Amino acid sequence: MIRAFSVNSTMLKRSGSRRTSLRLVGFLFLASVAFGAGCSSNKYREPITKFQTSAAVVSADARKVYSEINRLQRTALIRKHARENKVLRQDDLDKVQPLSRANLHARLDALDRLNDYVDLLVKIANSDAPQSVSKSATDLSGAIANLVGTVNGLASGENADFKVKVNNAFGVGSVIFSEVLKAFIHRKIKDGLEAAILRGAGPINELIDAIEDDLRAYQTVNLAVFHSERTDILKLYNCELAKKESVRCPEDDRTPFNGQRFETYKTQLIASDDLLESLRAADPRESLAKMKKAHLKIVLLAKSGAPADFAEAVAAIEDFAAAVKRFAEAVENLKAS
Amino acid sequence: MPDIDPTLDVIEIIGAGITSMNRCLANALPTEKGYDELENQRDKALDRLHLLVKIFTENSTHRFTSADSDLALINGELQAILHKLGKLGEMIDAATEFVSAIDTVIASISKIV
Repeated sequence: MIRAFSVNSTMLKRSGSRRTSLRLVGFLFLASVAFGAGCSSNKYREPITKFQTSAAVVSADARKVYSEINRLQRTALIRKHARENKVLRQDDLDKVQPLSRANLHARLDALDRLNDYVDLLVKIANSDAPQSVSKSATDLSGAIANLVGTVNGLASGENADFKVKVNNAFGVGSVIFSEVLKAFIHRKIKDGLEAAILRGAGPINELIDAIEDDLRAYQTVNLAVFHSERTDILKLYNCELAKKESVRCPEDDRTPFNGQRFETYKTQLIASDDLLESLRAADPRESLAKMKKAHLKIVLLAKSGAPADFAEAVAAIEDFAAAVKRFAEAVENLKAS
Repeated sequence: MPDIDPTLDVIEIIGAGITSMNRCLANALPTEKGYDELENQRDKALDRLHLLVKIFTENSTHRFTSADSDLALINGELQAILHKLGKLGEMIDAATEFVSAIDTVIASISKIV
């Protein structure tokens, strides 16, 4: 690089070529403009990387809810039929399981695509292309400087025209070539990210809305079913207890009070209350609303590029991450109960 | 303008109704008059709720397939950007090799001449 610069400086002094001087000014102008705007692609790194971490947790938990909803409903129905000594048919089981295989796959595929989208944004935002391209460009500058040096070292005479051509073609530009390229790549990355974020805004919002609506429906049916299960267990508990005072429930089995059975109902009632509590706590709607808000802030940042929007985006994403953490803990409790 | 599916609101209304019925049942004794009738009504409401959730799930699947295909397109564009970024470095490296080769050739020729 030093060699390139000395060769080119010498060449400038010697030739005093107006065209070369203009080219140098042009390159310097381009470099300063491009470099000034260049590093702004870095501003997306922090918000997008944080968004990815939280979105991955929401996506994994939504996946868990989709994968579990059929099992939860099936298990509840089997327990109900067993409690009531009722025959169980496959049709009964099919009726309570909301997700067919095709519907489940459509949802899991969309979640995969959402993860891919965010991962790609992160890859581009964290791309080392500006550095690696700049290094390649520096190598090229060195090679060009060597070539210019070799050509200038040729004997004069019939090589004079060739020397001028080589110097005009490769001379001054090589000095700042790598910086211009680096700035150009930063600009490309920034433009690509902004375009992708703006184009992704519609589908991402629609996807978050669709997941939110699904989870509202599943939360409603889960609460209704498990609240009913709790009521049924409470009924058995009270009926068993009533036997002590010779009071009989309408569907009574005419057996005397059984202490062991009473203990079983008591344990089931406690477990049922715990499950209901976990279900209420594992409502993912707070996380999804915050995810939508955080995504909106990233979109606004892509539109305006204003520092205030950057700060708001980071704050919204941190808020989203905190909500996800609470939701993830609640889901773990639900799984354990 | 997104499609507004009233099914979800109906699901939540029925869910709230079932919760109210369960509260009534939990506060009554199974021996009380009307308990069984209320229990039957609750079970019928649960059957309707299951049916509605199934219909809702079926109807909303297109929202996922549509978002999926839109995102697939955008992801393709993002991959193209990544690919181009990688290619640019490769192109410059190829140019470097080319320039070095010319340099070597010229240096060799100048020694001979």
